[in-house]
Amino acid sequence: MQIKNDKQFKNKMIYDNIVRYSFLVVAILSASTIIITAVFIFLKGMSPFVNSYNIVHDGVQGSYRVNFFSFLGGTTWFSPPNNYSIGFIIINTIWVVLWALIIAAPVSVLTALFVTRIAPKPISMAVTYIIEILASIPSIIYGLFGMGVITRFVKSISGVFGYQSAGGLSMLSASLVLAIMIIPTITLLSITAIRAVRDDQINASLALGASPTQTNFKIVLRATKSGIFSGIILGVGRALGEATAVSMVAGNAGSGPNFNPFGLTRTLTSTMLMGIKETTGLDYDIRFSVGLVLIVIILLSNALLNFAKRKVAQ
Amino acid sequence: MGTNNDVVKKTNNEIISENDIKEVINKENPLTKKRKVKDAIANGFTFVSSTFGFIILGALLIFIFRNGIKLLKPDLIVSDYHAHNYTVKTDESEVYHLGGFIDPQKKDSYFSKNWGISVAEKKNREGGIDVVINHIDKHSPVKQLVQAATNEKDLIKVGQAIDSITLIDENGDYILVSSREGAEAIINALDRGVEVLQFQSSVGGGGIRGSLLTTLLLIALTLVIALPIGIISAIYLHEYAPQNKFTDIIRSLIDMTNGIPSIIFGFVGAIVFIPMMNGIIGSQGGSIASGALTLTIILLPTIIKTTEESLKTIPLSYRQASLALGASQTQTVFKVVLPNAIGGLLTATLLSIGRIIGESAALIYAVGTVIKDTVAINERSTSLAVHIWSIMAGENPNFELASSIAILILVVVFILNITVKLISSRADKTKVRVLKEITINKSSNK
Amino acid sequence: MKKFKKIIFVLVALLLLGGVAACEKKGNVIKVYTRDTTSGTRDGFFTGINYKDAIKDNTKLVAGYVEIESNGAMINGVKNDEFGIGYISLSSLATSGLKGLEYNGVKPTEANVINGTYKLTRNFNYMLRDNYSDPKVGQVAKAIEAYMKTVEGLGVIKGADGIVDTAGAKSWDSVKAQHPIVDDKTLNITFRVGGSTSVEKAAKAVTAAFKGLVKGTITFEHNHTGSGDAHKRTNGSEKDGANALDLGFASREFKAEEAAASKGRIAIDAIVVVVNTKNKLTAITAEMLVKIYKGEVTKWSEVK
Repeated sequence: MQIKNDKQFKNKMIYDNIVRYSFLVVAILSASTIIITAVFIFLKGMSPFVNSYNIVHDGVQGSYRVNFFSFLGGTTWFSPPNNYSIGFIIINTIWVVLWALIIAAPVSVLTALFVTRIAPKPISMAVTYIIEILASIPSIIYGLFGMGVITRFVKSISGVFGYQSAGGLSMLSASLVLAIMIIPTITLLSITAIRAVRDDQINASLALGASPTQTNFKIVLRATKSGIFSGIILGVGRALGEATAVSMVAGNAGSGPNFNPFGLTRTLTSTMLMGIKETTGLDYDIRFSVGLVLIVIILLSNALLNFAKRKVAQ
Repeated sequence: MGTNNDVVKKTNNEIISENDIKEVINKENPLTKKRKVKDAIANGFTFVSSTFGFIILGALLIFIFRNGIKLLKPDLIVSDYHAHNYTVKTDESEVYHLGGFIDPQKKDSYFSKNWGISVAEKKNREGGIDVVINHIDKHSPVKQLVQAATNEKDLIKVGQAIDSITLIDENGDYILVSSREGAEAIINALDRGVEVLQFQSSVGGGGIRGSLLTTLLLIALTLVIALPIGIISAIYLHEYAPQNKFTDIIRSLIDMTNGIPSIIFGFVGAIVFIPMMNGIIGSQGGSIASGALTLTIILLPTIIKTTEESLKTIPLSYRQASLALGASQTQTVFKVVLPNAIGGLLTATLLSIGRIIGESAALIYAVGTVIKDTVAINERSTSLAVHIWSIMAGENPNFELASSIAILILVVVFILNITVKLISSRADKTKVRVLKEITINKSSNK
Repeated sequence: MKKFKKIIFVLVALLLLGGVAACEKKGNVIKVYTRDTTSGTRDGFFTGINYKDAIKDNTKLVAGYVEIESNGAMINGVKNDEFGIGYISLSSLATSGLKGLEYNGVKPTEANVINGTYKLTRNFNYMLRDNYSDPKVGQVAKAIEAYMKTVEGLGVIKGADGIVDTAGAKSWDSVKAQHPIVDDKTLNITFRVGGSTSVEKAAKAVTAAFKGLVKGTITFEHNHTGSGDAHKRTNGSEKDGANALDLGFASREFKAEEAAASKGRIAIDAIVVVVNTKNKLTAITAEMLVKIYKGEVTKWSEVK
């Protein structure tokens, strides 16, 4: 197909440029969604602290605003008319996620080892497939499972050990549900990381007389530290942001902080969803402020864990 | 074992198979008993950990299926969530012949000899008791009861549940009875009464048709908006964008959305898209449109990434050949590159559908939680996942109904999962074949 | 690397020990359940036992209380917790699977409510808007108001678990003529109902029955979010907002500042104190309830 003349060539160039620039506009549109998100969440989240709300308190209508600093500290979620605080909720959230991590991390890493280095191929493929299925199940269904099975499980455990629990709605239920949800994430990433370990390192270890199991645990795991850590970072991010499933099993603690595994708790995300059907005004807007705090915490924890990952990789 | 690390650094890159080495070791350095026990325990731990996944999946599936299978009938899918109600009464102008009806002796039923109907108690979808009509005599005066508004008769049918009846007895006193008091009380009241002031029954309800339609609409609308934007963005980034700071910024902005939980995007939907749609299409509060826009910004990073990955697998030689033949870049993109990336585009679509079906928190904020039977794009409604949440977080948490919906969602998600796997294994095979051809061509050109 | 392992070890140990230390020993601690602050049932309960401070203020309750959003969820909560105590609507007691306690020596039955011996009662009230933007909607509202006071309407409300007084009630036919809107075949409106979740069942029964009495088309939208919204969304701060209502229900009396031209009572409901069936308690007094909810009495062994 010869280029017949200059005009045809020019037309093609113009056409190309039109397409190129329109595509550029679309790409910029995609990139701007994050900016829109940040800006609007910030504006709406800060409004309870900046704008005044009309609230009827003790029969008197007044103009109220929430104090930013007492919002961040504090041990009671709400006392009328305008006192909200999430200090204890932040502590609860970290506590719940830490417990979820303690349960999930060992299980994930051991499973990843099993799949990549110990199991024969058919079993390995079967287990991998099961993990992938677990990863694709929507969180509402985990919430349903949590309400039906996990809470009953926790209730019977608390009975066995002689502790009291409110029908199983508890911090332990929340952590268990979160652990179940992040195990697939961490496992799949660990599997990829382990598969990338260089053969010569493994062979050298075996050549020196280490048993295959010793090799697995000491050499392979050490070599994949950063990969596993990436998986943990992703898992923590998911656990901090999980809303639906947690709100269905955490209960509704009004004050805290709540360290009791068998007692009620309240996390940032469960606060955002509790009672959403019925709220208006300040009670509705304050949830956006909670969301703002959540974003900050996720960013901070990401930064912290990435820093730890770099240290560990040395 | 510190010395191992030093040795590892010094090892050469020969390709020795692991099994060869294991053979050598086992022959010359047999494992001591202590070592064997330690190893077995360690291996045992990994085995036990792997069974956790199996146990959890098994428990979940068993729980959902056991609870949900009872209600999983076709009428669940096609019926409305809100029940149909019938309100009828005695027609003053007619003569009603009460009495003289023969009991069909149905099991566990109570029979009204005056009115010729038989009822039985039945557990309903919310776990309460319904008093259900299971027999109406051919000549039953119940058929003559008329609906005040429309003058329709013969509205009471077998299968309806009696909610409440208000009657007058022969002394002119009022009798009020309802399903709350049970089937026997209703029959006794009927037989004492001579005139029916109001007979109220209902049928149906608890269906998910509205939510099913909403989910399908959401999927269609979201894909129509998100796929073009995502694919075009990916094409720009991979095929057109120059390697400069600006492009890097765009890339990292798109990547940044990855760590953000979807409920935050739901917030954006509530703050930005709901007012926007209120102005544009006249909705009041949440709507399917605002939900679709919210889902779009959630899905964009995934669509862009998957599309870019599949664009990367197409060899540069394809593009070079096309350009060498005189095609413009645009023609190359649309006629050569895209058709070869169909697998990736399909994967992106299927992944998006899976995500939309599973999304709950974002839609709770961006659309709302009111369950509807008639669905429109500018009105609020619930997707299947939000329907489950609405039931479980409401007055009457109903595990059976929620599990039935969960079964539907799980089945669809599984099918999507398998399809994506099939497509990507096909794409991998194609990739391998193409790479082989290139290497063969290269070596034959040497 | 060793340092890192040590840090992890210490962290995990702290976590586990902290968790174990925080557990509450079994057997004795009373778990207090309450409705949320917008609930009319809560209002009725605390007014009845004479602890009015706690109606709107959670800080007046014992630490560790469980706040529940609806009547149904309260039933589920106490059903799953053998150390729990809560309060529900009498109408839901029979199917709840819980044990209702005698209050100040009187059993919680419908008969005792009607004869006046059971004192922990409250009224189900309704409220109409003072201003309807669509006059037809206003006429329908008045017709429903009249219907709820007829024998048929009361029959429906009774069937939906309200306790009604049929003395002096007329039949719908005799009242119908004053509301010609029900015979208007061209009628096609949406009518929004809301308010208390305790009254939701009765409200839905009324609108469902009423639908069959009109020749036109009415689409009823129910959005029950709490007694506090009955006035707020008909005549209060949200009367013109996205959640505005045409008819609101409350499971308590309307306050002085919740004024309206048309409001009234449709039924009486009783509040029953409930415990799990495994609990040995059978009766309770108002004073003991105040002590429990205040936190002065925290163990079941101290409850007489």
